[in-house]
Amino acid sequence: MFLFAVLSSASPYLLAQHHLSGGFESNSVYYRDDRKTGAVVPENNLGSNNYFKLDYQYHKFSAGIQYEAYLPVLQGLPTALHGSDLVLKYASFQDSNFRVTAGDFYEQFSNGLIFRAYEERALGLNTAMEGIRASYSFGNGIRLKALAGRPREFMERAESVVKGASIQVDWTALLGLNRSSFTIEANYINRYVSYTGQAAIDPNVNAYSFGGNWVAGGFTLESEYAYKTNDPGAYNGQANKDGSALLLQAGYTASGFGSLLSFRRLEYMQFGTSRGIAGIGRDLNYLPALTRQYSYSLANLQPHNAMGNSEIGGQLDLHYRLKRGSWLGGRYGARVALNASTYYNLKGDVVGGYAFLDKGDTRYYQDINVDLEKKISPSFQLLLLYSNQVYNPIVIGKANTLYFSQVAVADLTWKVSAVRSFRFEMQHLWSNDYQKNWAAGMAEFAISPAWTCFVGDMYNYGDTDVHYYNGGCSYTMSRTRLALNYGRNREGVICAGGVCLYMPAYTGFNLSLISSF
Amino acid sequence: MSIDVYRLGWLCVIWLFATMVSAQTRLPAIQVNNLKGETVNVGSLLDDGVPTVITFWTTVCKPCLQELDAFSEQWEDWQREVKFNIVAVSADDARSATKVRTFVAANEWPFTILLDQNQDFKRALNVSVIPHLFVIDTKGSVVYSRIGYNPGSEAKVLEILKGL
Repeated sequence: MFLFAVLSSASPYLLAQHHLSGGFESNSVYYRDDRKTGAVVPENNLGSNNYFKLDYQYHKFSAGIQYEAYLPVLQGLPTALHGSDLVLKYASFQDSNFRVTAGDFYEQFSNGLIFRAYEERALGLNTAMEGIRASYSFGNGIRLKALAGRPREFMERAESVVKGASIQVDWTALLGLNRSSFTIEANYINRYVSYTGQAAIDPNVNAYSFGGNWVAGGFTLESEYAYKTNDPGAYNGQANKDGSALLLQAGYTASGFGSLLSFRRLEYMQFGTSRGIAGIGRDLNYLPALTRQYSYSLANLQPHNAMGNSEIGGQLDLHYRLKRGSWLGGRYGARVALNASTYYNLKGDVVGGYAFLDKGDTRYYQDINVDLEKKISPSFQLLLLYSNQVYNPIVIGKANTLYFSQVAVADLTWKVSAVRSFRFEMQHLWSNDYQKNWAAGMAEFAISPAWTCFVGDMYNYGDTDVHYYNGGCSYTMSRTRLALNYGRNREGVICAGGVCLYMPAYTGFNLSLISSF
Repeated sequence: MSIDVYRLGWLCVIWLFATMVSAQTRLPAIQVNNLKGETVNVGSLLDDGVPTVITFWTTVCKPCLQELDAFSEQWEDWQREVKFNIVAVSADDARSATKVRTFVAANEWPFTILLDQNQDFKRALNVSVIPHLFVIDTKGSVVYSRIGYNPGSEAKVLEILKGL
């Protein structure tokens, strides 16, 4: 009541001089028994994740909090997320070229190969640092960052102290380049965990990375090389080996055309927030799977999970727009996209070491896909997708074998009127491996901008004969969205932002509320 | 658990109150990058002195791409009716941020594109799901915002812009 009274009396002043913003997010599931999928119902049949965030700004000063309540945590997410607490708080001062933050903050160096502190609520992941961060820019040419603190591990703090620094030099600004831009970046991270035992364990793990970006006309070239000192742990077989990573990306773009070729090599690059532990919510760096991310359920049935200790591979993207009036483009034009990716282990072994550029015999993943999107008339838009995938369950700790599959998708949007539209999805997966054939369909009706309702089913008719039906509606009013779904969800791996988490099967009602101001 | 529910209830009350007293939102002091890798102050997005539409998207979000296509198709017609800018802020992280340039070139989107790779801008505006669109007037105040996109939603944006 005291806080309410203070806010009430201060409200005219708040409106006049200060700025307050915030957000509230609640995801709750009421679980039901389902013998067909073997879903296990938790105590009280309920799971509920809730986030409340408040930010305050006054000129160059800002401060904020985040409160989280798990009542209890949704099934499948880390059980270390329990109870409720004011988990994040910060105060920050920002001038034109200087910024300092005390408290909790998020940060990333280059591509995240050695350091990324971030949040991904869908996976119950938050590795925000609690400490201090400062950055200073010398004009537009040189930017320095330094930080020190302790990473968050679920509702607690990691046992480590992390320190780091980064320098970015923008040669475009320093040399006054007009026709191209060139930046280089160097980063350093130290993780210290005190050790008083008898084994020869260094309490420090150091990681360095160097990289550069070059853009000239339609050409781009991005690179980063990272090196990490040894960090024996359960996640790398207690290997007392230094790690390294190389990321190269080259692209060319022109009007109506875009291309990108990526290459990445990883060796002992898993980097935990504490000694000997890494995984969801406990990674100090960010090693996402560099593959195509799908929004279609069957194409996303068996996603790749990057193998941070031994992986080499690459990805190609091509996008082309067929002009209006051309033979293939027709009256409204069309888009064609091709994507291909493949990943293997590194040649070699733990004892003899790994080769730098040679691939081994274990294929982790491959995907070759093409899609065509075409507006047929002012009312109809069609997307056709074909994907040919090879998946190895070794990436989630299972047997070293290969699952081959082919997926086809047709997605049709029908705009009935200015505000009413239907969308239909039809999908099929052909496979002789694991659960064999699947079929899926979905119909969605929307009244713009507020209402959307859908029904769908994903059916495994090749093996289990289980229907994964789903249906629901959402209502959006400005910055508030309320959604209620009911359905059956399969056991499997879900991925968000390139990080994957194994989720158990569940059936139930899902209520989601998101609002911000 | 009852204490947790009690605390959460109080936070909901505070949240409702804060929603009432905070009638407008202003752009935060955040720096992001453009496609050349240059640093851009979010405040400078309003330097042209015309209303600005800011929308958050990613290369893997189908409704986001539909929304940007809808704006792109009507861009020239709308510019004849009302002058405004569109800033499409990509929240793609390191997994797909380098793909943004290929998407933009292939689709020939005529908008300002910004990269918010560690989601600092997105977080500062309390964006939880995308697409999330804001219409900012020339004074820097948010006059309209919307979560999600359905075909036809773009008409409301034009109506708001014409009313400014």
